Amino acid sequence: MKDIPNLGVGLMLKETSMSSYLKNQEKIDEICDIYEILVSKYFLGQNSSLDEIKGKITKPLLLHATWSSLGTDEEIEKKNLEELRNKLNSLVPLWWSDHLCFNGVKGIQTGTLLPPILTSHSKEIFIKKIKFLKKEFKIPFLIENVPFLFNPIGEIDYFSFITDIISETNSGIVLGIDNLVESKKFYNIDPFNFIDNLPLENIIQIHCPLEENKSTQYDEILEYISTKKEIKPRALIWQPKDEVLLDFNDEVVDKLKWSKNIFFEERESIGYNH
Amino acid sequence: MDTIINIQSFISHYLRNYEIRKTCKFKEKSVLFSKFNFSEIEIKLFNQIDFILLERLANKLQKERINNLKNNFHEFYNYLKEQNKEDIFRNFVNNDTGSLNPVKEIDRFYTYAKDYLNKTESTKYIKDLLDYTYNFTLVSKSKLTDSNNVIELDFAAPIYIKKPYKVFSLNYDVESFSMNNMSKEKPTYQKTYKMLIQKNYLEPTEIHFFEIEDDDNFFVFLEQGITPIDLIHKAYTSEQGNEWREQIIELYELNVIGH
Repeated sequence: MKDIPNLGVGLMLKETSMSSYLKNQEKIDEICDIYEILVSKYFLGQNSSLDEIKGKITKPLLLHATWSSLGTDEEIEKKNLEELRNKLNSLVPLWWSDHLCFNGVKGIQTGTLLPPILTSHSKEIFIKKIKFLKKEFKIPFLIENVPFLFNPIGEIDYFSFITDIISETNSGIVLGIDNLVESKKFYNIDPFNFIDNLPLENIIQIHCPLEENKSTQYDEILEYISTKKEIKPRALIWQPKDEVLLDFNDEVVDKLKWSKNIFFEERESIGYNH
Repeated sequence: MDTIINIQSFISHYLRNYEIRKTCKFKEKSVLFSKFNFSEIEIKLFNQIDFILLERLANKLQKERINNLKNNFHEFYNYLKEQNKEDIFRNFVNNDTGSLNPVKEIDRFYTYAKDYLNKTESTKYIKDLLDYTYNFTLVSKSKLTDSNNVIELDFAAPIYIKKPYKVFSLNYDVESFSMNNMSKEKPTYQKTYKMLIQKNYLEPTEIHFFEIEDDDNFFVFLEQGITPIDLIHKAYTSEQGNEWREQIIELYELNVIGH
């Protein structure tokens, strides 16, 4: 993953939130270096297809999916594979990502990202599928942690599990900060301890929600990653709600500048208070 | 054989199926081992599961599905709530393990609710409310498939109604009743009338509503994809023809119809 470019700070856009983005595109583009498109399996959006998105966004693009179900002990469903291929062909992202999880099994989906079963067979399933997808699409791939929606089950330690998958498949990690915080509602983990145990050099990208109420907690984790662990991701992607895109105020701009400063430039205070 | 598919299948069913959760809670676990064809390794994995956490997750997912359905069938839900009959949403989710594709789920709930209303001999009004919310949600969740009008209206070129749109019949004035926040007043019974709803091309978050008169074939002809000239010729009188001409111009400007 060494030849992956250093991209900077950007926003995740859902296919359905394009009209909100377009209302403030000029202002948003001024601060963002990159955009990541969250592609839905069931796109019921407004008036924008991926080709239109590609035509309207002038910055580099990434693609994020939630439904490959890489951990399911079955072949990837053909229609999902074709859907992924179409979306990747339309957007031509610099890299794409999905989760270290399973979503269900053939015939019954859960609608959520379930933690991987931690056995050696399960590890082989991930490795085989990621290798297949990399060969099939020829686009770099990253894998994101999911919330611990139930306790770890299996004989392998979570961190060896992810480290082995990353190294066997030559993939990178998306560190999902929201997913660390979300775990607290189910199987409580310490986000800082979790980060300490990851193969830090493989963290290529960070996902962080852009919202008011949990902001301080997220910022603390970001500061820890930047200052204490000195991680230098190639992309930090904020995940805004539509309201944030519609009201892209100075406070939001300051926050993005702050994150750009701590991860991508020499650290200087720019007066962002959180 | 080394496999985890059966334990993954169990977890998925547990999260979607109330009966499995009940079995897990109140019956011998061995019933599940044979039902899901667990290997020895999978039985070990099963025994590691913290069921307090798994149940918490199942409840959260169930609540999210119910809330989505309540939002999608908003006016129908509000009315049922007034009648203390909103359990229909929970009962549906408890018994349904079908696709989570939002449109498919909306379709299945519509069929389930219609069946429930027929069995409980519900009023025509509530059936209308169900039809109205169903069609409204389907249209609002569907993609715009055509582009906005950029050329002048050509009276010699075929016109069509832009998708997504739906035409359906109602007996009650559901629309104004629901717009008035479900006022306590009894909804007005009307003769059967048709309604056309369409996603607004100029403001895609909004919906156009058109009430179609019984004796008015204007929309029927519009659906045939003929030219404005041919459509106007189908009018019964020249007065009606002029009226239709004005309507075509207006609908074209609103992007309801296109070439």
